[in-house]
Amino acid sequence: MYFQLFADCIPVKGYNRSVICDLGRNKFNLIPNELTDFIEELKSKPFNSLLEDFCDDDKETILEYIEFLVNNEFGFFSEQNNNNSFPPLEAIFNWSGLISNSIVDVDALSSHNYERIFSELKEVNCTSVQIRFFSEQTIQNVQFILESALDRDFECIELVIEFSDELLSFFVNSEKVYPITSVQFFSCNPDKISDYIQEVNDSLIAFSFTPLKINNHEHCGLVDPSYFTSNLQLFMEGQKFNTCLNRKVSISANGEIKNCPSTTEVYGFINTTKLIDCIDRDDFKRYWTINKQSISICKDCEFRFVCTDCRAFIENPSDIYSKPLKCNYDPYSSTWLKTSNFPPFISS
Amino acid sequence: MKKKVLIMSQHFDRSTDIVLQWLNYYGASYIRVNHGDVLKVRKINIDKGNTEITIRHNSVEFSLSEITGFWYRRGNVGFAWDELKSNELALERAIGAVNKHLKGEISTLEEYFYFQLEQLTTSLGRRSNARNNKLIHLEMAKLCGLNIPDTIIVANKQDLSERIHGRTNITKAIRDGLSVGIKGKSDMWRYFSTYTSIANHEIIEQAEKEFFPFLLQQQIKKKYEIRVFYLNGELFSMAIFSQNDPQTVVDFRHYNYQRPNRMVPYVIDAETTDKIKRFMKIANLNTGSLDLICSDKDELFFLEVNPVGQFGMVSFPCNYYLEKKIAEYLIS
Ligand code: SF4
Repeated sequence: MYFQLFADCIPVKGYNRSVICDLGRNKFNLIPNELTDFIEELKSKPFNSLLEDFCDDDKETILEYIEFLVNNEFGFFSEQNNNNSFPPLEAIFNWSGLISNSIVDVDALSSHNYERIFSELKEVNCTSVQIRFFSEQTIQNVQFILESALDRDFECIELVIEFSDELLSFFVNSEKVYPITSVQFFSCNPDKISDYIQEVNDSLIAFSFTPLKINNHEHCGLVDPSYFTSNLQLFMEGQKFNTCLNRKVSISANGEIKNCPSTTEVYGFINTTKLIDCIDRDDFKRYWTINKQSISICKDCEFRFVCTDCRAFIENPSDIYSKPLKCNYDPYSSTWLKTSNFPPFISS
Repeated sequence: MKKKVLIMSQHFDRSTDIVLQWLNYYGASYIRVNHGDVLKVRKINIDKGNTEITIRHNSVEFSLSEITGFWYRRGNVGFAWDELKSNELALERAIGAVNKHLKGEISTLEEYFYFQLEQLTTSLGRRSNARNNKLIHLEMAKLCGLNIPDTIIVANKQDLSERIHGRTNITKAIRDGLSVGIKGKSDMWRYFSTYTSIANHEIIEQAEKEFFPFLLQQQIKKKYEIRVFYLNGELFSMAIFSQNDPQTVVDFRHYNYQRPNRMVPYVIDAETTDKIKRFMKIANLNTGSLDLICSDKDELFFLEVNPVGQFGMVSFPCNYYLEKKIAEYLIS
């Protein structure tokens, strides 16, 4: 009898323990490294004969592990070795454009030409746009911006914006008018968050709320278990590319074109430079291929393919391969060193 | 020559959208015609020298000579024309006959138009094949040496009870499934759809002596289902493990969102692959989605092929990038 994992359940080994990424069900579980090794051996050897190599106590443990894998439907038994019929997922990532996602920052002094921004984003086949409002916004202004994004077929439009009751009801009522995917409200009254969540229960838009005030791009780059995501695209992208900065472009509040809003490099100005000319430059893509395997500490971390990286805030600014600054996890002791200073968003 | 691809599809067909993104990426241009768009003949020129077809799509004219690749994805786009109308009762029959005649004229033009498109060296899918005849396909599959489940069309109670006796059958539509909406209390719509389902003794009791013919098929005890996307001689297969979940044992469209079925890449053995290729040749299909089943005895059974089936559900979970491969084919 042979045991094999389903191709969409992929163990990722860390220094002390492993994470099994369930890419079909978008979740992950921690498992011991011994189990990962055992699964690896099972690829070529029959289950029963492998089991014989262990003493009775260990056998018991192994059977428990296998039961865990079967109960979670991570793998399956079969009479013959099925490796040829059930190949692994091919570890490739492709994107049909120069850019996949973008951030547009807006503050009180911004004078963006939104028509131009969105049409240039479309030109490079960007499908996701996040708009972050760092200053108080009128409904009219938000509406005006959303109008310019209409009919451009963005697959995902995310807004980060200061909470107001008016805005909340505006978004809830216009879910059919504007193709908004999600709204993250900041500066929320913490006592009222659960009421808001009630209010948006049936909405097509994914809302989230935080009491934190987000008034500039310093509030980014946070690494927290609540931000971990297990999905096929991110996993495959992460094999070769940076999970935050690959195929990203940002327009800062004053119109600078950057890869990441929080890094210092500026490649042009949206009112004078063509977006595509900036992106074409080799140095624009300098961070894109920094994958987790090349980052110190992260390369030994079991969470490396469910974790979104950050290159703007790093432990050692003179070493671009150093670990994200706002991560409190230590894979060598498998502990979160201190609790996060940044309360994450609470989602509906 | 710059690549220009003509695509016949429908609004909201996600797979088409993604293929177009890839065509964009490769710098190819395209014309997407959706079901419901107005397509009109401007001119067709068949002479010794060359053939020229000029078409108007909504308000834009294009000539067939610009087109380097063609994809019939789905939908049924024909040429638009105006029916004759009359208020005079006496003319009703004559007008009807004239309209019928005009319709025949137009459909001949359509046939010719699609015929020419299918002559292109890169042409994927055929409008004339969009409608699958499951029974003919079963015959063809049998001819190619593929295993098929025993299938019977029954129309009377006696055949039905003989057939049901002692074995498990499933029943499904002979052509396409049906989905109907019924408006109930307070304007709430309820939808009823046909699925593949088990046919057992209960239906004999309800049956009249003779009835509308329907399909019964031997139920194959399955280890897993297989969905194959066929693209011009290449097979991209996926296994669907649904047997753990009673909800999806019979028809995996009863999808379980809490615990989705495992859908993983699969490689069909070389012998069956050859048989499938032969089958697709005979069925005159260069693309399509095939359903197979792996029995508890590890035998593969052919169930059906859908020439215009959805393949996104194979492409994404298996990381196959089928939409990219289609785009590459269309500009090859
Ligand atoms: S160590 Fe690196 S990979 Fe691990 S959680 Fe922190 S940032 Fe993510």
